[in-house]
Amino acid sequence: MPKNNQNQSLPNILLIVFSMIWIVFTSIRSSSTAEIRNVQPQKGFLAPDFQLKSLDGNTVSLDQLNGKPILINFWASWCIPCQTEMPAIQEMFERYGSKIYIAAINNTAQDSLANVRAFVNKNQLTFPVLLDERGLITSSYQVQALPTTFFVNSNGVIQEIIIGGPMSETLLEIRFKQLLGEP
Amino acid sequence: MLPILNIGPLAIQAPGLIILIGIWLALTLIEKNSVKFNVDSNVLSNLILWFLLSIVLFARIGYVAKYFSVFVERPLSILSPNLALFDPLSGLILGSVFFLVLIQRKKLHFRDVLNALTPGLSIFAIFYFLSLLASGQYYGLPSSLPWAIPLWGIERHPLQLYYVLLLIILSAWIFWLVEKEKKISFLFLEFVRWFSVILIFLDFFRGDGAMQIGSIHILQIVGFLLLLSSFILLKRFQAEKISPSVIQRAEK
Repeated sequence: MPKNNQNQSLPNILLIVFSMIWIVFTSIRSSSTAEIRNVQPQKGFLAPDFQLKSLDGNTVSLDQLNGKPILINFWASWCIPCQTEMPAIQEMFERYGSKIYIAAINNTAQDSLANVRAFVNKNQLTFPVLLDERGLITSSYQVQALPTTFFVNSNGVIQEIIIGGPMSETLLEIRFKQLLGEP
Repeated sequence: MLPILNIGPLAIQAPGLIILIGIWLALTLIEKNSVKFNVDSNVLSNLILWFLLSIVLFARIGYVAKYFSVFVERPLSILSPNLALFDPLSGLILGSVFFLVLIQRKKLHFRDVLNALTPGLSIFAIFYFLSLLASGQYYGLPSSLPWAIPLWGIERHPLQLYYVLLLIILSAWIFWLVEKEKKISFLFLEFVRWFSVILIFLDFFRGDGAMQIGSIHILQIVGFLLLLSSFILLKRFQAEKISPSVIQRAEK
């Protein structure tokens, strides 16, 4: 090999060798720096806890639902995409209600209870509608737009967040199958 | 972190907006610089347009194929504009294959087209990582360094900003090479080589644990393979010294 060519290759070879050393070094370090997941409204973290009253007067908390995948949908009766996706959520509740818990959290702080009841009755929604009367849960989930939907697995870990809508039956069914580990 | 931009009654998804700005800027720069690579700007614009459309199309086809049984029940969902019903990896792989076929059919030189795309690609990469910063994804490991940022309940390495910073330096170098018409026939490989180094170095700071099998970072391995390939190809092309377009120009 000519000397000039050798000189040109040396920095590249060094770069490759240093890269190899860095990969090996960091893979050893990675095993000791594994992060314990805390509670945050973000994919890969534990879903923040809540305790809310439902429209029919029951109290529901996230703690009670451990062991079952959960769909948490933040909505308001005046929000058009929320209205549009409700029939799809109802259809999925009828199909998967025994395997997946659906919690439709109404941001009641920015809504009116009368409107919520009227909307639920008109659309014959039978899944649990929870009332966030002070907006604290909406805020703890850092919801900035409605609808926002969190897909939570049976260990309480958020798998996906969908901001905006409307979500279709197809999208919901695929996500439900993923949560249940079905092909 | 700014996932949603609330402007009056509109709730705009900031990461998507940043990506669109990145695509627009990249296309503008590619068109502006294409003459230096002996590629017609109109032909290149058309190629990119087809490439982007094919990514969208193949991403949807890939997703439908993956969940065929669900789509069979509601065939109209195939046309749904919902972004959650796309498989980006399928789109990127099949779109790239389609792009290569198009280049061949137009009788263009792969190397010249890839080199002409490089300035735009380097700018788009900056905007891609800015969009990840806006969405709060691809976050860094916990850190107590003075420049750590509070994200997801803890002070963390601003990983997306590390990428942005290093990519700005890489882009500046790429544009300097284009301006001075230096190493222009190896531009794409130069970009791949240094982007691989950035990937290998920075992926260690990734805190979301994704793309990791045990303690091995998959992106570091991908980066290493890219680095190795670019090294081999650069060596081969440097032996040739000049690109096909330069030979053509000389012949004319």
